[in-house]
Formats: sequence, C-alpha cells, structure tokens
Amino acid sequence: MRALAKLGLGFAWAGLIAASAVPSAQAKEPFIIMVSGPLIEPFFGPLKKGADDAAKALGVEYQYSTIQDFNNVQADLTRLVQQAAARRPDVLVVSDFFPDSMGPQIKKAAASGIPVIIMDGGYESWRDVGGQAYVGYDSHLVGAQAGDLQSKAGVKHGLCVNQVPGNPALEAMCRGYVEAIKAGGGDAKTMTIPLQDTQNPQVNLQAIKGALAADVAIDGVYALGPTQVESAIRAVDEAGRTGKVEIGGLTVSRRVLEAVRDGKAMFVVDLQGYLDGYFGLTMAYQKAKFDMLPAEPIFAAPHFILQGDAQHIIDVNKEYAGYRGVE
Amino acid sequence: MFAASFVYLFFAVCAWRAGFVSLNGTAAWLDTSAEVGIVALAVGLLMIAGEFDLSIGSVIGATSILFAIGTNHYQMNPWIMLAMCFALGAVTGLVNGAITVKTRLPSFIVTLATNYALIGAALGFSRLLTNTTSSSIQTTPGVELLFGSQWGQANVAVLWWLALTVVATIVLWRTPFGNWVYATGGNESAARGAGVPTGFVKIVLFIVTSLTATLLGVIQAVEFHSGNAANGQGYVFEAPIVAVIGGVLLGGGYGSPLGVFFGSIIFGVITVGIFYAGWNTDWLMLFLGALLLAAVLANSYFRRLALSEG
Repeated sequence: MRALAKLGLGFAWAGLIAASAVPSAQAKEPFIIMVSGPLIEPFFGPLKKGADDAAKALGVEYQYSTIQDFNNVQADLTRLVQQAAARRPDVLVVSDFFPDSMGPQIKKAAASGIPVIIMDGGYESWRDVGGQAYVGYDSHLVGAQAGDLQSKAGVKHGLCVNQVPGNPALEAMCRGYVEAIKAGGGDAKTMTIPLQDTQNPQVNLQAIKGALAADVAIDGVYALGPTQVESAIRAVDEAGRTGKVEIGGLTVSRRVLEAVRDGKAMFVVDLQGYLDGYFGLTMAYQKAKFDMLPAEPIFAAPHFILQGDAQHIIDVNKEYAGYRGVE
Repeated sequence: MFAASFVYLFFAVCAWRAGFVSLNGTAAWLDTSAEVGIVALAVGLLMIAGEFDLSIGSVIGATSILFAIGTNHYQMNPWIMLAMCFALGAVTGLVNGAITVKTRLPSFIVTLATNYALIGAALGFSRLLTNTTSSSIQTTPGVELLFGSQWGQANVAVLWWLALTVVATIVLWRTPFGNWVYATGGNESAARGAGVPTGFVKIVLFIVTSLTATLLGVIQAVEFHSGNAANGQGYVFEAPIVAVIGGVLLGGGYGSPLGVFFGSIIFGVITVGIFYAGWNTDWLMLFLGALLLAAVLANSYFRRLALSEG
C-alpha cells in the first residue's frame, strides 16, 4: 500500500515536471533544413554563406544538406529531399534543380504538412510542387537578357557554353540566350563540355578553342561558369580573334571581373547567390515562427556587371571575400 | 602506335578546315595529351605492378588549392608552397602504399577512400580558412618558367611529359627496379619467393604516382593562375583508361611506358579533335567511347599479329 502511494507520488511529480517543460518546448527554435547545391561549385559557397549569416543574425541553427560530386546528381539530390522530409523539419528550403525527379518528393513533403520554400532552382514549377514561396531567378529570362545584350552589341553568331549538360536551369539559360540572339536577327548554338571535364581547365580551353576554330563565324560567346569564361577569353586570344568576339559569362570570379574591367569580356552575370541563401533562410525562419511569407516570388538575380562597375565590385570583394564568388 | 596514327589521320581529315593540322591545332592536343600523359605514366607503371590509384584526382585538386591559398591568402613564397605541395603528394602516396601493402586490401578500395578523405579535407580546410574552395594564385617568374611557360601555344607540360616518358622507359627496361615492377605485377608470390621486395616496389610506385599528380596539379594551377579543390576528378578514370589504351593489362604484369605515351596521344587527339570537327558536342561521349574501343581493338589485333609471328 505504502509502495503504491510512493509510486503514485512519483508519477505526479513526473507529470508536474513534464507539464512545466512543455511551454519551454513550444518556445524551441525552428528546425530548418536547406537542400541545395554542392560546395565544389563556386556558386554555392556564397549561397551557403548567405544562409549561415542569416542563421547567425536570427540566432537559429539549420542544416545544409548537399551532394559531394556530380556523378549521380539527379538521384542523389532526390534522395536528399526524401531524407530531409523524413526528418520532419519545421520548414524545408529546397533548390529544385531537377523538377522531374525532385518535384514528386517535394510535393510529398509539402502534402505531409512541411512548409516548403523553393530557392534558386525550379522557378517554373515552384507552385506546382507545393512551394509556398520562392526566392531566386528565372534562368530562361537571364539567358534571354544576356543574349539581348550581346545582340544589341552586334553579335550575329552566338555560342552558349554549358559545362553541366543535363542541368535544366543551365539548359534553360542557353535556350533563352539562343532565342534572344535569333530574335535579334542572328543565329546561335549551344555546346557542352563533358561532365568529367567540367573542372579541367585544360579541356575547357581546348574545347572552346576547337569550337571557335570549327566555326569562324562565331562572334559572341556566353559561358555558364567562371572557368569557362576565362577559358573563352584565352581561347579567343589563341585563336587569333581578339576583339572580334563578345564574351559574356555567368558567376563571378576576380579574374572574370578584371577581364570585364579591362574590356576583354563584355559582362558577367552575378546571380547573387548570397541573397538567395540569406533570404531563403530568413523566409524559413519567419514562416516557422510567425507563419508569414512573401506573397510574390523574390528575384535576387540577375545583376549584370559591366565594364564601368567592375572595379568597384573587385574592391568590395577584396574586402569581403566569399560573398560573391572566387577571389 | 598504329591506333595513334589512325586516330590522328581520322581527325586530320575531318577537322582539316578548322586548322587541326596546324601549329596551334597540334599544340592544342599536345597540351591535353601531356597533362593526362604525365599522370597516366605513373598510373600505368602502378598498374603493371598490379595496383590501382584512384586518389590522383584529389591530389591534383588539393595541391592546386593549397598552392593557391598559400600564395594568394597568406602571401607565402611560391617555392615554399611548392615544397609543401610535393610533401603532401609524397605523404599521400606513402599512406596509400603503406595501407595497401600492410593490410592487403585491394588498392582500388584503399585509394578510393584516400581520394574521398583528401578532397573532403581540402574542401573543408579551404572553406574554413578562406570561405571559398577556389582561388587565384600569385607566382614568381621562376615558378612560371618551370611550370607555366609556353612555346607558341604549346605548354612546358609537354616537355615534362616527354622527359618523364624517357625516364620511365629507362627505369622500366634498363634497371633491376624495372624488372621488379614486372615481376610484382606478373606473379607477386613467385616474385617474393625470388627475392623481389614487392612491398617496397609498390610503395615507391604509389609515391611516384602521387608526386606526378602533384606535378600536374601545380602545372594546371600555374598555367591557369588559379586553384580549385575540385580540379582533377576527371583524371581518376581518364588516366587508367589511357594506360589501358596504351596496352597495359588491367591484371598487371604487362605494359610499357611507350604504349602509355601513345595512349595519351590518342586520348588528346580524340578529345580535342571532336571539338575541331565541329560535331554536335552532345554526341561527344558516344564518339569518344566508339573511337576508344576502335583504338584498343586495333592495338590488341596488331599485338596478336606481332606476337604470333614469333
């Protein structure tokens, strides 16, 4: 009898403690998972830095989930979304780079009650996959604006260099570029660099040089990565066509900025990944804590850097390294 | 050798208009062949001894980012950074060799593990120190001359490649060490029974392979004035492929540096020639595969012919 009473008292104590613990559990920080691109690709360094800075400013922790290499990128990213959803975060921020395979998983996560924010990749389908907000850019539009710029500068035969064939965002960008050049009265085509040589500067250089040699009419190049832009500049030089080919690029690096400043390249597009990460995480926090989200998509990009602004951006980057690409 | 000429003539014809058969066109494929050739030589020697090294990709990337961060962010003397890079390469090779020999695990797995470990470390440290995994480099004229100078559009890498091929040929065919390499790859237990220090041979070859990967990383960093931790991953499989095209047997015990030399030529000509020929680059991998298969079949046919006329 005594023992039973003691047991009952013990349970009551436990109940009291648990009850007092519940309110502080409700005040716990939001659990945010961000699934995005690998850090070996220069664009995502600043993106993650943006998310890190936002997390620090808000005093919240989050998890950045990504792949390690491009060998199996579509399947790996899809699997990451699945795993993230299984952990039931308060908010899921996803870069939907491959809507065909990642889309259904994102939809499932959204349907199971996890608020989803689409960041960076997947602008065309962000509402369809169940996203409640979007921050990033429209690749097709960026490509079109790049093509427009070159077309107005007199480019009649354009070449779009895509170093990650199969990536829908980059392919959309090249499509936009080609359409814009055609609309300006010229023609344009796309070339790809084999996936295993994406990070091989020698092959990038020889590939672009070869393409220029094979088609001497090319007078405009739009390259989708800083290594490719530098290779294009050098390839144009080595092919003996300096000054006859307009070069534009995607993603910032110091050497590309210097080339733009010195007139060797026409422009570089800053996709401002830092803003994507910063706003993506901030939006996730605000959704989790206050249930508030922007009503319309936020476009963080593009920002076209031309000759006049290049030096200023170089100086900013020197002071703040890692916010905008490679130093 | 026949395959190399066949492939070259094929592209000379298809890409004539684009100037493939010109000084610049020749420099283009020579540069590509030289870079893969430098590391394929060492990988080929290792394969003759019966082992694989899949960590060369990470050594190339780690070397380039180490050199870049040291000279660019910490303003260190390029020669000191070079010494550090080669030390890193040597240590990696030593680790690969020691683990493979001591544990008798397949080198395929051991070096795959060091590949991932090294690139993870390179990415992690570079991000920790500089918040980026890619950086420009600062060099001195001396370093530029040694690793990045050009004659026309041909890189000094071509000279390194030729020199290393000569050294490898001499070592393999004219020194006892060379015999040991063949013996180790041909039949390891018999070799050990005959007194060949197979463990020593393998460790030395692993170190040499990592050192050539370091050399390639440095050459690319100096030539392109930038380091990137992700560089070089493509070479992990391209180097063994080039060695196999060059006649090195996957099972070990057979092969020659000259074969690997011509294998590199075939690879460079095909990779670059396809772009000069102006073909749709989406089909690139298909062409590469078909032409590689043709080249290897031609090689093995002629080898059988030559061997049968004993």
